[in-house]
Amino acid sequence: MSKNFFSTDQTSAAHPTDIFSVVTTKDYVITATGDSTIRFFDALNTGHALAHEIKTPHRTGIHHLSASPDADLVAAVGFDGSISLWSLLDGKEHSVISSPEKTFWAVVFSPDGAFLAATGIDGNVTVWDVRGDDPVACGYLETKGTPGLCIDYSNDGRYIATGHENGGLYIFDTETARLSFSLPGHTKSVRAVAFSPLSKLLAAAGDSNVVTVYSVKSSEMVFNLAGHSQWIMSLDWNFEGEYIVTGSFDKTLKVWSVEQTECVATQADSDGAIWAVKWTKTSGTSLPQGFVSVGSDKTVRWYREATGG
Amino acid sequence: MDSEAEYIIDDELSASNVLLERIECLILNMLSNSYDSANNSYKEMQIQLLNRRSSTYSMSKTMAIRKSLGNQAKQQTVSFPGLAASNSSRFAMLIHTLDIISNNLSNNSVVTKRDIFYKGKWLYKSQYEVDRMIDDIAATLNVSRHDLGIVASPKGIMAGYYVMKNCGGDITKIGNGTDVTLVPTMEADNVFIVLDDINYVLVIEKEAVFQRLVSSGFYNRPELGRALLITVVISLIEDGKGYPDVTTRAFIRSISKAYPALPLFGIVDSDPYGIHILGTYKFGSKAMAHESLNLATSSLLWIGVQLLGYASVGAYDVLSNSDRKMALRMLENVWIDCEEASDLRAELQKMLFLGKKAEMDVAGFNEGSGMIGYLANLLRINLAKHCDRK
Repeated sequence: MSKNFFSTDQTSAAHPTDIFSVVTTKDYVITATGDSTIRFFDALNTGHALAHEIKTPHRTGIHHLSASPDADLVAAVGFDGSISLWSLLDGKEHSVISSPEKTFWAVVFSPDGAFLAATGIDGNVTVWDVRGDDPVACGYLETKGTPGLCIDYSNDGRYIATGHENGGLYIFDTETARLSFSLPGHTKSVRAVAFSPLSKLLAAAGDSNVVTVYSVKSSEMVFNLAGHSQWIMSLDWNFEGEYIVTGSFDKTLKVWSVEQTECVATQADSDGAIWAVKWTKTSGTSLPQGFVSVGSDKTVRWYREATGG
Repeated sequence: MDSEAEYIIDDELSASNVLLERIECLILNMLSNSYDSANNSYKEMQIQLLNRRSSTYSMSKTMAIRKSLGNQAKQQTVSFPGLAASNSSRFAMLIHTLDIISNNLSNNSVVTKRDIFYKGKWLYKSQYEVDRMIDDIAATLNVSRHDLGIVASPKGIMAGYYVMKNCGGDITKIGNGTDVTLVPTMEADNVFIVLDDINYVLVIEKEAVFQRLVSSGFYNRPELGRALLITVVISLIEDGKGYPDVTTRAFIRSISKAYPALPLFGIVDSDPYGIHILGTYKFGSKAMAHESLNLATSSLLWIGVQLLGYASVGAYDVLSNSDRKMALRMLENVWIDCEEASDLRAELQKMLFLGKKAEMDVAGFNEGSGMIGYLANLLRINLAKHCDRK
């Protein structure tokens, strides 16, 4: 059974250069790029006007973002390897995390917004308590040391997962601060990891062009999703955990049914590689569910599910 | 990355330290010997140099050393203050060159002979003086020029269509395609070049690719028209990269001034070195900052190879840690922020983001068109864009 999504809008030249990252909150679609700005687009109203913009000190450009779930902080990682935190209420800088020995790469907030976790080129994970005025490092998780490319925090707060350049895929237990599982299956770079909303499954994807889904409890692979012809750069579960959306270097987006374990929709509107894709935060609203994608063609694309069909 | 010729040599650190100590010894001995303790006064300062005959000048490093230590080598004394002014200036050259060498050794960097001459024009009267001093120092220390962190200057070559004339207007040379010649030194050779007959100029980072293009007749493809192809020859022994020398840069700059409407395209590897080399043509090098107005060609357009232009990702290589560092250093430079460098900046970011790089040699490999087909297509697109702009 296929599912219909259609493109509702696109913001061309949303940034002057590649858009490497996108996150969604109830109100905004937030993007970050090589031009070192963070832009906030109206998530609710068609037209999706640019609401505001933050000029960050990341001169070398930004490639990863995360927004805290209660949406009062957004974290940006620059090519310079530092992390900056911004208050979403007033757009002011909250704090900067940088270390001469570390090149941070990907970040994620804990589901309660109390912690920020980052992986970096040394492959290890640092966790900070971000409740105060300044982030306080409070946890450190070690891996075998190849660059970490992606990170996610499970919704129950129990686990952190990281994907690595050499295909390494790890699940850490946040209570014991220990490695729970090292998951085999990927021999090429893992560029995206995401826990299912109920924290039972972990999806990972990257240069093998396949999404692999594991049971978090047993670490067994449950199923995989094949169909992209090139690297998968990004993936995201929808709110109910029924669908996974993926964005690929092959310029397409695919929506996969978790129940049927197959592709139910493919979108091929982009002229360039897709760098990131996220479901919009529509739960609790009357809006149909949808997703946004960004990539090398500098455009933000909005999609939503066709309803009543 | 500060200058066009500064790149890192990884495994020669200990040897460098030994050499550095020997140079320091040379200077310290000179200073202590110049003090006459009996009279509590200073004599003239002297350094003994081995004088290497010019016959060994262009030989490979091992050969050159052996020969320089043979019977031909003879001692010379360089002193200050000297008997004649020329002797004093030779002393100044010696100290200056030793200073450059010490710098190379302690920073593990490399400079070209050409750089030393241009940066020391106030001191050296000719390139020959530089070359001779370097060879003498190498002979004295019993090492190769390469060990001192000094490499021969790269040389520009070209093929395609052009007419070279002297100042009297007489034709001295006609390029008719396949013949490969040295890029002329505009001032010294007293020539100028006429390019009435071509559609574009293509500057290529790699000589091997240039040679393949020349032998395939790329300078006159039906869909692209006539062209002038330029590249830089690197000495393999010296492990150089495709950084252009001053002559080649001045030549390309003079083309852009004489023919502002003629499109100038540059093609380099999609790796940090490639982008830096393109940047050196386009914006000049820090080493030659004082000359960059005469040497930089801001109208040179980077057209590839582009990391995202390959239809198959199989051609990519992993970006190493040192590649990452170099890319980041470039992103932190000031020139990368200017409008004309925006596509170079974006390309570096793509490399870092993907953790990949790509060489031009394998472009088009998976498309079946091969590298030449890939480049021809790239030029076709960019020539069309150029026409649209006009």
